[in-house]
This record gives sequence, structure tokens and C-alpha cells, in this order.
Amino acid sequence: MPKDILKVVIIGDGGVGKTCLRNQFIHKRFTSSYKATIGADFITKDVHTDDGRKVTLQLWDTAGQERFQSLGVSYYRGADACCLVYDTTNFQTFHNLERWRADFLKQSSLPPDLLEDFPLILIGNKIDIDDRVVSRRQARAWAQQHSSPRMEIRCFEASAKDGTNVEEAFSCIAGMVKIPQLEFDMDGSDSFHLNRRDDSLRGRKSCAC
Amino acid sequence: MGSQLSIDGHMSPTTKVNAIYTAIQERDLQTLKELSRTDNGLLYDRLRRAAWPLLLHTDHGSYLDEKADDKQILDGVQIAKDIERSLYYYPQGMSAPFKEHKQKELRDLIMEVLWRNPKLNYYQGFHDICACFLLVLGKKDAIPAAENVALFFLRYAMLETFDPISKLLNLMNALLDMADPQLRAFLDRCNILPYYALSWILTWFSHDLEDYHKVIRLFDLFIASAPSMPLYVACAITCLRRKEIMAMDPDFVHTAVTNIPPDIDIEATIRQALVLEKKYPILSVQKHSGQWVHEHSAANTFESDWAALQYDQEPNHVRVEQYLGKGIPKEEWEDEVLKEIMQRRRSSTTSKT
Repeated sequence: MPKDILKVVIIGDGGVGKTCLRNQFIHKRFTSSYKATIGADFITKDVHTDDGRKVTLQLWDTAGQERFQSLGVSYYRGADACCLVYDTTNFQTFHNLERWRADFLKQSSLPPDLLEDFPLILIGNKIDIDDRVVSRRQARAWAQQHSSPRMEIRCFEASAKDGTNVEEAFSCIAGMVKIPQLEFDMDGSDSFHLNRRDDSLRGRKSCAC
Repeated sequence: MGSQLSIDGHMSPTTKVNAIYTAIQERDLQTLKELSRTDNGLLYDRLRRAAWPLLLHTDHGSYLDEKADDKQILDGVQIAKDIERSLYYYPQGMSAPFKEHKQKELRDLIMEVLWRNPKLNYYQGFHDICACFLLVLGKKDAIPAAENVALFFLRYAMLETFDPISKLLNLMNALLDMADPQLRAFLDRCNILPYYALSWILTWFSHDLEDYHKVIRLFDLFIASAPSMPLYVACAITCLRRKEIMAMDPDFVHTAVTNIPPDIDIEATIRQALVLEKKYPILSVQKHSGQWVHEHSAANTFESDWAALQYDQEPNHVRVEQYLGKGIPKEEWEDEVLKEIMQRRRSSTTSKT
């Protein structure tokens, strides 16, 4: 059986907890003292999707400062999915998602007709802190606004500290992405990959947040 | 005198301490540079406290008062977040209040440098460099030291755009190509872009190495060398690991290459870097690869603006300000090169699955 490797890029403002989320998912651990991420590195982890496929997630963690985005081209290209992360206790980080999403799509070098269907998920981190300023409703509204008929952006509220929803969010990504080869090979009829994608969405209409 | 000392790779610590003291007393910059580069560098922090200000031309004094006004600093929020996460690996065993105190000093230091030089842009990683100067020199002396390092060594990373950094990394790749074409070809086949070395270059390895002594030893080397020295060290690190790297599954090469083994032999690495520097001067690397860094870059202005200074001469801050004021045009071929790399990556991923 061929190995499915999905490249997933985790982006969002500095300090929202991208590295912590990834570490919680991979190592099931949280430390409050972390160093800032400079550059980008990936860790891989195997997950099983709902339909029983084994998928290797290649999770790319990136620097949060805006000036690193000019290097983004090389990190973003070839990505299969993207995790947008904000901090539920800091509104600015939520506000900036717009720019992160736009920059990502711009630099991902995807063909224009695939842009709006590109698999994205939204993670609001730090819900363990009792100081929320971004509501679930706001997050859901943002997700809906940027979803397309074929790609629903799912939103999660998670805590890298206690692990809430971390596993769910990352596993969700694996289910969202179809293997490109399958899609393109069978692409004689336009409907094939669209159908599959719809199927995968139908089963999970409910948003986690 | 200097060259005799540097030839002897195994000077006893006592001899070396004496040599360092003598060079400091005699304001013998040339010898001090040699001593910093070779054979365990400047050995102890108390020697560094005397030698670094000389090497960085800041021994004429520090700023009388700090004037930084937070409101004028653009990246205040980002800096605050990075400070919170600073002093991560070292120093070990700091009490929480002391760490907090040091972090506040670090913040003041960064703010002061940026406030005094509004054309410098903060980047994530500059805080790591500043932390090292703070730990060795203390806040007051660290401010002008970090300032000169920013202006004369790191300014390529502190322009409005971050594009020049890609160019430096390409230059490192070109150097690797000259030093070990086989290894370079292997990395190419694995689709490894030179970004694995990004944090090395941006932070002078202070972000990656966990051992304070190794980091500070490298700082001895860097402040006594040309600004392209980190590229040579980066290349040396990868070259010295060639056997291990080339035996790897391509999927894991990026992660392996970017993580420097904690037990790295730093002296051997530095010796190798010095050999590479001698064998492939930065100008010849540019010629060989066609990767020309900008004429106003620190790499290409270093000889005239810094290396030629006598111990009592101050570097020309005004001129650097002028360089910083000039933009760097983006060259089209850079995009083309990247496009080619990405195409290759695409096709190799497709064939794998």
C-alpha cells in the first residue's frame, strides 16, 4: 500500500501556541516554557482516518513574525492542508487570520480554481485560560464566511495545555484531504473528487466548537 | 606575534590567558582577533568582558542614559512575546525572580538598540543574540555591543524586507557545493532547501545549541571574523556530519540536518570553518555561484567599514544608516530558481506515492 504523506502547515501570530499544539499532539506533553520558533521544521505522525486509511501527517511549524512570511513560499508550496491558529484570549490574533489565510493562499502557488477549496481548519488555542475575548460564534462565523460549497472550514477550540480537542483537530485534517493522485487520475468526470469530498463532509456537519 | 600564536593550535590555557591579557593591554586588535578565533576562543567570560568591547569598538564607553520610548517601537508586541520565551536553554538554574529581572533587562536592551536605530527592523531571533551579549557583558555594555553587531554584522536580516536572507542561505548552499559537491547533490535529491540553517544564521546558533559555553565560544569567533563566518560554520557542521546524513531516509533528512547534535565538537567545527573560509573566500563563493549579495551588504562592505578600523577608531554609523536607507531590488532569477526547485520537489513527491 502506498504511503500517503500529507504536508500540513501550521500558521498564525507569534505566541498563539502553534508549537505547543503540535507538541501536545505528537508527544502528549505541555511545558509552559518554550522558545520562539525560528524558521520551520516538521515532525511526522501516523494517523488513521475514519475510513480506515493510514496517513502520515507531516506537520510544519513556522515562525509567527510577519517578516518571515517572505520566506513562506518555500514552506507553503506543496502543502496539502493548513491549520490557522489564533489565541482565544487575544483578539488581534483572531483578527490577523484574514491576513494569514490570504498570504498562505497567495504563496501556496495553487491554481486559482483550487484556492477556495483548499483544506483549512481553524484552531482557537488557550481555552484553558479563563479570559476569552473571541467567542465561538465569531470563530464559526469566520469559518463559514471562508468556507466554500465543497470545503467547510471546521473550527476547533483547543487547549495545548490540557490537550482538549488537539487530537480531534489534527485527525480532522487527515480526513479532509484527499490523496491528490486519486483525484487527478480519476478526474475524467469532474464529479469524482467532488463527490468524495462531499461525502467526507456530510458525516460531520457539526462543528466542534 | 599574532600569526605565531594562531599557528599553535594547542596553547596551554595559562599561556593563552596571558596572551589574551597582553593583547588587551597593548590594544593589539589583530592578535586579539586571532586568539578569539582559534583554540577555545577567549576561554572565560571575565576575559570576554574585557575583550569583546575592544573587538566591537565599544570600549570608549556606554550610553549615559537609556531613552527608548516603547510607543515608538513597531514590533513591541512581538518583542514582548519573544522575551517571555527567552533565556530558554541557558543559563541553567536561574531563580524565577532573577530570570524575570534578566528578561526585563533584555527587553530594555533590545528596545534601546531599536530606538537608537529606527532603520533597523526587529526579527525573531535578534532577541537570542542580544541575550548572549546581556549574559556576558551586563546590560550597560551590552547595548552598544549589540548595536554594533546589528549594524555591522546582522543588518541584512534587519532591513525592511527579509528577502536578503534567502540569498545568504543560497550562498551557504553554494559554499557547500564547493566544499562537498556530493553532499550538496544528495541534499538536492532529497529536496532539502537551505532553510534548515535559517535559525543558525539569524541567531548565530544561539537558538539551536543548548550549551551556553559552545554558543559563547562561537560568539568569540563571530565578532572577531567577517559577517559571513556563520555561513562557514553552518557549512562545516553539515560537512562534518556527511556520513550520518547521507545514510538517511530522505524523509528524515531535513529534520536531521536542522537539529545540531548537542554533543557537537565545537572546536573541530570551528577549525573546519576556518579552513573553509581560507579556501573559499566569500568573494569567490559569489563568483562561483553567481549569487551576488548586495554591494551594500555587511559581507561586501566589511573590509572597508569594519576590518580596517584601529582599536581607537569608531565605526561609521552614519554610513550604515545610508546603506539601510537604500532598498534592495528583488531579482527575477531568484523566483526562477525557486520555481525550478519546487517543480523538482513536486515530481519527486508524485513518484514516491
